[in-house]
Amino acid sequence: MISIILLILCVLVTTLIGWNVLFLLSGRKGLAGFSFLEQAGLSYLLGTGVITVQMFIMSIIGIGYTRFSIFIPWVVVMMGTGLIIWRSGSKKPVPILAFPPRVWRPFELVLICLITLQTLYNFFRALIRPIEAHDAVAIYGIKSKMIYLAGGITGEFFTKLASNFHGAHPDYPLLVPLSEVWVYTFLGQFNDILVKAIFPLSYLAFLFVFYAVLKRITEKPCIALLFTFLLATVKQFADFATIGVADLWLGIYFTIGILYLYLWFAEKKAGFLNISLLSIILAVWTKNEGMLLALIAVIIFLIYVAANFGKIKKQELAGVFAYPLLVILAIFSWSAFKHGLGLVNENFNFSMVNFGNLMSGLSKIPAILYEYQKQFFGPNRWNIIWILFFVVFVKEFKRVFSGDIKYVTLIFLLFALGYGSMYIFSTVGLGFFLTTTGSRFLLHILPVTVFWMALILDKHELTRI
Amino acid sequence: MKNIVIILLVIWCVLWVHFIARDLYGKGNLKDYKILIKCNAEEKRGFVYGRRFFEFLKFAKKQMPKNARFELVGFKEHAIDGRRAMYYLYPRLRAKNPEYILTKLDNGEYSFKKR
Repeated sequence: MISIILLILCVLVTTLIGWNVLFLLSGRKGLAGFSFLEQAGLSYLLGTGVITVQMFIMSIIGIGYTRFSIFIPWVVVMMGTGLIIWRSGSKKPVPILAFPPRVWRPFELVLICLITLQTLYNFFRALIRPIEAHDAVAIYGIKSKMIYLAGGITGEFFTKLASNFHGAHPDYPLLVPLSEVWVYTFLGQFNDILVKAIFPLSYLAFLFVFYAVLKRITEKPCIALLFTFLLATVKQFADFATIGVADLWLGIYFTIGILYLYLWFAEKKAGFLNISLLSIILAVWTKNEGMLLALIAVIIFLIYVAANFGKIKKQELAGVFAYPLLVILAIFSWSAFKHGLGLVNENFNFSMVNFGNLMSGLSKIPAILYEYQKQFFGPNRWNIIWILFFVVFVKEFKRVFSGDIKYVTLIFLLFALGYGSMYIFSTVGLGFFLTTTGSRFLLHILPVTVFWMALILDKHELTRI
Repeated sequence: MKNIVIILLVIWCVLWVHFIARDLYGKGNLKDYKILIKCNAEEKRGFVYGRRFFEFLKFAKKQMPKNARFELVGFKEHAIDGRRAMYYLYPRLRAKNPEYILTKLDNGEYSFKKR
């Protein structure tokens, strides 16, 4: 019972820390316009991310992990936030608990019930078993156990992983293991059952954000709920919220980065760009593929800026330059750290990118396409989401390449090119690589796909349902 | 448009319910959940790892000091059992020059030896 109370406290502290970060990111206009759900979801996800970065830095400078040592630096941040709120002299309270009164329609209530059911089912499935799935044990669980028992990331952590745990991918970024360590530290014990709560929790937090952003854009709660329901009930998406691996979190951080970038395209609020920037950096910190996804975000950002330079005001230029630079800096920092330790990914690394591998890899394209068409048209994992995607793409072809939507569309092209290149250049057996990664990679882009469909179909009269 | 959306939603929901039902009944997860819900943490681990294998791991853990080195024999490389063993037994390390040998025998039994 005490463990459960501590877990709830851990979630609240994480959310509190995340809220302070969110407040600082939100710029001059503060959190006005951010709904309660949006703040709660973002706070938990950003809080988890920044705490893990902090823990990594603490290890580098030799500070061990305790509840106190992790929390104390945030007290300073909280005092800073409090000071800003106090000095702004605003008589309006910070809108944390702003619930505008609303009468929900029956269809909306049904959707809310179904999303709630799926979420509860995910929590149940996560918490009924300890960490036990292959990668959850072999890649993430083992790292978190090692780090927790050592009280931090010791000098021998990476070498021990590389020499004693073949296949544990010591080169992977550490967001997921460190978020598990944060929970163990807060609980004061190694508990690989309760720790799994963070996975459905991140799923729920993301659904809050996804709904809130869709509602902002469409201004129709019904459409926002409908597409949130579609995303929440994709089997692969729901399943990955229960097993304890990084793919769902990668998809989440990347999508938040894209959602707020899209909002910035429309409104140019610095806060949106800052949230997008931090989320994209956290995607880099979640999984190696995050580097590729971050580059995709930077490319669409730069294309947007180049095409709309006239619309950008002078005071926004600093943010415009900082965005790509800081993302590249994050990629470079982690790559340099790995390089310094001699950590190389055995499935794909830049030494594989050469003309010889390109030539031999081109013959893999039919097999890659075959595997992916199985994913797209087999409903077992994805329901009919990819079929809907193709139908929308063909039927709304003009709209797909209109306005700011075209930048989101471009993501799919870059995603196919980037991930396809990994398969083509990799020297690992294609059969193994495809079967172990095919469905996971699609998970990284799934929420963006559902968001894109909502943007396109928003113009139709869906609200009359 | 409204009718198309409703038809698609119905198809979606039918498939969604079908997948959940398949997991619960077809794959036997409901039976597992009924057992797991009554288990404590150790029993849960025993259930998902396989009782016999977990009893063996518990025994091995008791026998080895925390800084022990061991080797797994008869476990397929990258197979889930070996991974779970390495995870469960940590900080005892699977390493070269092992002091202990944990063997999975052909008949499904396990043996534990000190070198």
